[in-house]
Amino acid sequence: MTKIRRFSFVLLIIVSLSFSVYTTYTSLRHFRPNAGEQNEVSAWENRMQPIREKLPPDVTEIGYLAEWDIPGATYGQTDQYHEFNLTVYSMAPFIVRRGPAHDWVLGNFGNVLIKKIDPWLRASLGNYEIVVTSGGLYLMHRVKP
Amino acid sequence: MILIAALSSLLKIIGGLALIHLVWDSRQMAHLTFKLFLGTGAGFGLSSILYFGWFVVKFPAARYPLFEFFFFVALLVICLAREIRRKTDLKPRAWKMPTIGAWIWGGLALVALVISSWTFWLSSSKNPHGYNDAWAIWNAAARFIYLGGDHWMSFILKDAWHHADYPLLLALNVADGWAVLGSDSTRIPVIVAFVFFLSIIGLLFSATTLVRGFEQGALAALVIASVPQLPFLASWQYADAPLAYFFLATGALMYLYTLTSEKKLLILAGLFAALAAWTKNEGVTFALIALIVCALLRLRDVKYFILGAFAPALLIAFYKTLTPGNDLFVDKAKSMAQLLDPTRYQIILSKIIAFSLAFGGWSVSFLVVFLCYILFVFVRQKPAGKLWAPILLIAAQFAGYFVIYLMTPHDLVVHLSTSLDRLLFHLFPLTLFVVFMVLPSPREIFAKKQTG
Repeated sequence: MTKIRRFSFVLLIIVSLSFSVYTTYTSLRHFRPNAGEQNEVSAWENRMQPIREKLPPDVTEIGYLAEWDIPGATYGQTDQYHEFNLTVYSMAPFIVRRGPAHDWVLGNFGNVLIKKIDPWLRASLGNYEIVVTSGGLYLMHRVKP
Repeated sequence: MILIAALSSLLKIIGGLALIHLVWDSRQMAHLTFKLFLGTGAGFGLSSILYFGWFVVKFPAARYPLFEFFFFVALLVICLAREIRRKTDLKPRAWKMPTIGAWIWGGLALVALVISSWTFWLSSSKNPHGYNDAWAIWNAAARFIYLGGDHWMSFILKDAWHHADYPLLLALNVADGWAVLGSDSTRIPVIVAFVFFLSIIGLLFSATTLVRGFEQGALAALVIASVPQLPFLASWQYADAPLAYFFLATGALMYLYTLTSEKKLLILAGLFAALAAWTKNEGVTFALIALIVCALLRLRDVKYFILGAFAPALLIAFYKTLTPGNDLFVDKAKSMAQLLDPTRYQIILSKIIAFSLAFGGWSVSFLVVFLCYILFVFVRQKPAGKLWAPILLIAAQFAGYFVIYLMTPHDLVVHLSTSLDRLLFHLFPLTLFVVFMVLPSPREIFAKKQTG
């Protein structure tokens, strides 16, 4: 019994350390030195930067329209949700609200051509102008009649 | 920049250590490591409470870092002044060469720690903003606090970020680090995450060492450091690793109280249970369970637990009056009806089994390997103190998770798949602590005369 105990103990240590080393080795093998700059959050922030710069200082909230708002568009619910959260994080402290009910609205339409959805956008926002485009994102501003 | 970030965290840890020592003034050297790792959580907890209080009384945000610096320095000075006044013998004791066994066990634990830390840094380098929930919830909250300045509290009511009702210990510490640094660098949340990662290992090591000796502590540290889920989950910058730390601290302190009857340990247990509630909503259930367990241990000593929990509990109660409602309790009638649905029990149980078997991130099941180890080395012996106290904490918290899954308004399978591994992790360090309290230590296993 004593030998079994000792053997189990040594085995536990060997197995624990082996898996620990294996995990680190796997992480190291997949490691890319510039991964920190190329991660999706940093990339999303870079796309948001020109939009942040164009927003007037008195604006605190903006609207957000994406593929999930376009009638008949096909989209992945998880992806849409993911991108909305990325936008909330990247735009802080501006509050990002889903829907068109703000003077400034961020459009994230993926592969959908903005020309194609222009009638829907006009029905949602009224007259609008695109203030800045950044990596497929549009900052739209309602034009008062 | 990384040095400033590290120094900002170091000051909190030293301040936390001073706070722990002011409450529990034991002068035994064996307690020092345990106190140090309690100090990390206490320091971060205290910092977040002060920072939140600072905003509640509407002091200017920009002045806070300086206030915090002087506060922690003052705490340290008070602590040192008390030591000098009591004429503590500060002469170093004669240094005793550790035994070969201690070198081996300590060395092995250190190797596991270094390897695990490496995994943590590799994962953090890949995702400096953390994983999904980090930037959707915890770091998003930190950004609104830091960038919102004096008016950030208005963002809570506006539900500005995902789950704005979640507690703020983590977010306030990240925001505070950014305030010290003057920019929202990703290094701050990485360092905060690393401190909690180290503290889980350190606290398990030191608490186990206190009761079962250095070798057993080192073995516990080696095992937890070898589980890849720890460095990965910590590097994701979620609140789950800090929560697991606070659960471990509360459980270990309660158990030590049953061994020593030192009421000061209950004050600290109360503090850490309340800080768990200030870390994540699951901590609220845990704090209530801890209160009940404390009452079961000795009813007349509950006041000490409440004393420790009072300030953070008051703060959490106030914070909850500001926050939007929790998404889990939207349709109470439907949730109650789900409690009687047998298929939900079946789904939850089958997922618990599957997740438990896959837990840890090893290529083979960690649970099976560890259960085999327990089976082979276990010797029937009555543990000292009331080990049922931390066991009851674990069991009741687990039962609480089960009920939440029964009642959840979300798709049950999706909810389980996206959270169960993290919930199991909450209880993992405390479970290891309990297991290592009853298993024979390496010294006992390799002793010349064996029982059984």
